[in-house]
Order: sequence, then C-alpha cells, then structure tokens
Amino acid sequence: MIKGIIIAGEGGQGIKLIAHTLANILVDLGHDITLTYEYDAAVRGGKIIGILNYSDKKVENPIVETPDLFLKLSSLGGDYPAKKIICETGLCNQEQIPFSKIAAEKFGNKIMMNMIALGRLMRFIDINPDDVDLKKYLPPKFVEKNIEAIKLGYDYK
Amino acid sequence: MQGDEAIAEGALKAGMSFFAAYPITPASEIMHHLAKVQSLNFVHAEDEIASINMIIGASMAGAKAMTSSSGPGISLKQEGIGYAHMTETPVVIVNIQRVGPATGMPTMPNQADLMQCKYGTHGDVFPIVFYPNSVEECYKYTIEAFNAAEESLSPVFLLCDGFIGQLYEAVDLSAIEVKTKERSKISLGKGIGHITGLLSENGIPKTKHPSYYKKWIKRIKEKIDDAAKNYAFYEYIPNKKSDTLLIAYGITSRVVLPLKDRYSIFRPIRIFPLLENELKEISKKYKKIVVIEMNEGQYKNEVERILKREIRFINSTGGEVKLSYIEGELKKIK
Amino acid sequence: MEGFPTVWCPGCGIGLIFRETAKVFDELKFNKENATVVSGIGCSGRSAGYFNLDSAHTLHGRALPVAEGIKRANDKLNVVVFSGDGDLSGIGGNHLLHASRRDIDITVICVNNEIYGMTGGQMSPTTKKGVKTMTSPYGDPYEPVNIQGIITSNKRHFYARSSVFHLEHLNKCIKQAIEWKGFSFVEVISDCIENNGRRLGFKNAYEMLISYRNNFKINPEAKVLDEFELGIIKKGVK
Repeated sequence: MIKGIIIAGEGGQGIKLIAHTLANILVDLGHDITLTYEYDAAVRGGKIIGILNYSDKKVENPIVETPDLFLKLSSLGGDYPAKKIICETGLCNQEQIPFSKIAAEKFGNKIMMNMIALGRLMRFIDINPDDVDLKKYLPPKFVEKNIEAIKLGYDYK
Repeated sequence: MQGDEAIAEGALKAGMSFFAAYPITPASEIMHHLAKVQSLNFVHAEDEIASINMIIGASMAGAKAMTSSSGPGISLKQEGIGYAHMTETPVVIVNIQRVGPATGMPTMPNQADLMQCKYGTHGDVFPIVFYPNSVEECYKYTIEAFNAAEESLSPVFLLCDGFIGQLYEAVDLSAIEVKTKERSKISLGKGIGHITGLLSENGIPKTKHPSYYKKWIKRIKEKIDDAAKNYAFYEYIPNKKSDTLLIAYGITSRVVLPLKDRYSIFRPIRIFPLLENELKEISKKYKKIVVIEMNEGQYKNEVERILKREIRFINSTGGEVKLSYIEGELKKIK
Repeated sequence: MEGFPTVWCPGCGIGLIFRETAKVFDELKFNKENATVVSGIGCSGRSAGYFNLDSAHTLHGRALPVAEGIKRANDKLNVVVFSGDGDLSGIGGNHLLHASRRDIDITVICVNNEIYGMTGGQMSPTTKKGVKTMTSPYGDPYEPVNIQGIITSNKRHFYARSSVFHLEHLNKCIKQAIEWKGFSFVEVISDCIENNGRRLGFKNAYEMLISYRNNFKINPEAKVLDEFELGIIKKGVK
C-alpha cells in the first residue's frame, strides 16, 4: 500500500510545514516516506508543491502521477488527477473548506490555515492528533496555537 | 534527511577536512549544511574555478577535500579536474545534475553529465564515478567516493541528480556500517618534491618524451582499473520470468523499480569505469536489453559498445520522468 | 640535467628575482617542512621546480586558489606564490581580488615584465598604453591594470613595488612581505628582452636594467606610489 499525497499552495502559506510535519509523523508511526518539493523562483507569490509518499514497505518510485489525495490551498497550486481532492473554497469541484476564513475567525490570522489543513489531512489518513506528540514536530514559536489549529481541522465537519 | 544533506554528512564521516564551493541550484544545500560545521575548513569561493583549485591545493597539503556543483560549474572546473588527474591528487567532486546545456533548467533533474566526467576535460583521463539513487546511498557512496579517491589517487565524481539531491527520506545513519581509507601519498610540506601540471617524472618535466607519455598513460590506466576493482557497485534484481533486462540508474532507477515484478533490472552504481564484466555476464541470458535514462543515450551508447549488440533505448528528458510514460514505451518494444 | 642551469633566456629578469627570493628563504631558514612555493603558468612559473622545497606548478591563473587551499590545510607552511603579471592580474584577476580581500596569509611575488613572454610577446593587462606588442601592433589601446589600487583597496594590505635593478630594495621588500601577517604582494618590474624589450628598441637586457635605474626612484615616504616610484605601502596591524 503506497499512498501519494500532493500538497499545493503559494510561497508563504506554510506548505513546507504541513508536508514536513506530516512526513515526520508518518515516519514515527513506522512508515517509509519520500518527500520532494517543486517551486517557482519567487519565495513569495510563486507556487510550491510538496509531493509525499508513504508506505509500510520501502517507497520505490518517489514520483506521484496520480495522487491518492490532493490538497490545494492556492489557485497557483495547479491541478492533478487525484482520487480525492480537498481544497480552499472555490479551487476545486470536490471537498471545499474555507481554511483562510476559519483561520481568520478563530485565530485572527489567515496564516493558521496551513495547520487547519494539516488537521484535515490527518483525519483523511486516520491519524488522531491526540495520539501523536505534535510538540515534537512543530517549531517552538506558536506551538500551542498550531496544535489547536490542527485539532480544529481534524474535527471540522 | 535530504539527499544533499546526506552527501554533506557522508563527506564529514569520511574525514573531509576541507570544502570549497560556489552556490548553485540544486547543490547549494550541501554548502549550507557544511557552512554550519565550525570544525570544518569551509570556503565559499569566489567562483567555480577557485573551488576546484583550492581543493586540489588543500589535498596536496594532505587534507581530504571536496567540492560540490552542478552542470555549469562542472563545465568551468574542467581544466582543474584534468590537473587533479595529472597530479594524481585525490579529491571528490559532487555534481547534482540539472538540465543543460548552459543555464538550462536549473530546478529540473537530469542525467546528461555522464560523459562529461570522462570527456569534459581535454586529454585522455580515466575517472571513477558513483551515482546513488536514495538518500541513504548519497551518504554511503560519498564515503566510498573519498575511499576510491584515496586508493586511486585521482578525482572521483559523486554524480547525483536534482531529484535525489532534493529528496527527503527517512534514514538512520548510525545503522550504516562505514569504513574509511587514509591518505597514503606524501603531502606538500612533507617531502613530496615538485608537483606540476606538465607531464613529469618525479617532478622533472618530460614534455618532449613520447616514450615516457606512453609509459605514464599505461600506468595511470592500470592504477585506476586496479583501484576501481574494489568499488564494483551495482544492484541486480533478476526476474526469472523476464526475457528483458532494464538498465537504469539514479532517479530513473527508482521510478522503474515497481516494474521488477515484470522485468529484470540492472542498476549500475559505479558508472565509470564501466562494469564491463558484470554487464557481459548478466546480459547473456536476455533477449532484449533496454536502457532507460534522462539523456540522449550516454549510458546506452557505452552498453552497446561493450556488448556489441542492439540495445533498446527509452529516454525521459526535460526534467520529467514518469513511470506511466516508460511503461507505455516498454510496451512498444517488440 | 636538462633543466639546468635554468630554462630562462640570457638576460631574463626572473633569474635575479629568483636569486633574491632564494637568499631571503635561506635567511629565514625555510625548509621543506615550513615553506612551499606555488607558481602559475608563464616563464616565471618554471621557477617553482628550482627551489629546494616541496612546490606546486599550477594551471594558468590558478596559483592563488591552490596556494590558499594549501595554506588553509596546513598553516605551518609559509606559502609563497611566484608568478607573472598575466597569470596574476589577467586570467587570475578574480582570484587576486578575493584572496587579497580574504587577507589569506600568503606572499605573492609578481614578476611584472608587462608582457605575455612565454607565448611570444602579446600584450598583458600591465602593458603600458601605446606600447606595441604582437597583439597591439598599433599600440596598446588601454591603460594598464592598477595592481596597487586593487591590493590597497583592502582595509588591511601590504603592497610593495621594486625592480630587478634595485636588488637590495627588492630583497628588503620580499623579506618584509613574507614577515607580514596576512596577504602580501610584491610587484617586481622586470625585463623580458626576447619577447618584449627587443621590439621596444632595447639592444640587450643591460639597457633595460639601466632604464629601470634611470626611470624608477625609491620613495620610502610614499602613501601611494606614482607610476615610476618604488616602495612599500602597508596598512593595518593584526
């Protein structure tokens, strides 16, 4: 069972934190992973894509052509023939979640949208944030807020 | 851990004490990682040419030295690489390949710098070249590159591609067994005498002696072949049901790995000197041999030359390598 | 025995600079364990092999990075670069800018004969404006590179200029340069009779030496050396 996830967004949205955190959690849970990024030259205002594979055996091919899950957080994120798509409002035809709006309402800052999205990802993969020591993977600054955001995304209906 | 990082860690584990390089995508991460190591003699050099010459100087003075770059930088370093061959100075040169020529596609991986290792510099040289295909192998084969450099007293290439270099994988370095080779050649300042880029014998230029050149080139070739014997790295995954052998390396070999349930796969890790004996032996029982690489046939041409039979070829270029495309092309091969 | 007595033309200034350098090395008790010479490409590049020290004859323009690599790997070695104007200020110009900026503790002796001698007499970055050479048959159209300016643009610097006529002064410059902690540069005005002087109208090397005596003056008080002044410009205590 090899699962491929593509997380796409814009530079500055914290895509790397989502992908890296999820990858580290999966490794600690005993999976093998491969993670790679594709980005534009611009650090802000350009697209960034995290391509994550995880498996209970060694991951052979790290390139994902048909992701099992595609998370799209910005219109710059491109499109992929994914089995399941979760996106920010207006960016796709499947599950749309107003990540920025929730972040602004609950935390007063749109930037928290990435952690809310991470929580939603974790529910898709069936990893309960309570079962994992999130503090280990997150930067010390704002760690409490981040954990709150992840749990919010996990519980979001 | 990232591939580039693993290369940096491997170099440190091998005992590298001097590193000089110039920033270039997709190899800069190696520099960033090593810049933080305060015990390392680290130089962010003014250009690529300074880097190669500095590491040669440092190695002459006894240090294990390495530089890292990508296509455009390796092109600039060619005279220096020849100098390392001529002066028999052990150094490691890392090339995280990207699409060329010239500025090309800086963020797209490629495999078109194989022949550059051998024919990039002027004159006849016999390089040793390794090419890992995972983050763990980046660590392991960087260490082996240093060992091979010490044993062969020559510049050794650690080829990689932008994909593997930038790839993150879970690795446990402490679980990897490692052996390192120490410096055998006398250093500058300990009595080596005169070192020169001219053809020479014990420091005396022999620029008008054809008979000496013939002796010298024979000695060099034998020296490299002898040393390389201890580094005949490859992976062979036979499939009893298959009459077709796939040959791939680097990122391409990862992409085609899922095909092992249908095909046999041969993966060279030592690219040069060519694994002639191994290729000849393994290829015997296969009706079809397909080389799959990201260039216009650099390894395929070599395999054809050695095996003297038709070799099929699938190439994936422009920085993109997809299993679906390769599978499609394989079906077309009768 | 083919390389002896030397490979240089009779009358070549390199021999004089080599001899003064060797005298200073002797005085400072240089030996294989504490000193090495690094040379570039050009007639001056052949010098490295003649010193009784471990030495490296490098690629054109790359003596400075090789020397820096050696010094960083073994700082017990006194590293002296012996090269020419083309090698150091032309193809090697970029390395000159940065090695001097990094203030790496090496000494550079530059044989400045204002020509590319080894390859037959083409103009060099230090050839004076208007001088006729193999690649400037109507006169060099450019002003020469200002090596003093490059070296002294650094906060700490040691720049000395001497000539193959002023041998006592040359000896003093070389000694002080080696003793200086940090990057030190000695520019030596030298003669190339066969591939330069001959075409400029000099009948022999002796005439070129006399011209240095007549045209150059040692100025020990100078803060900046004029075109025909010799002296030492240094700044900064470590």
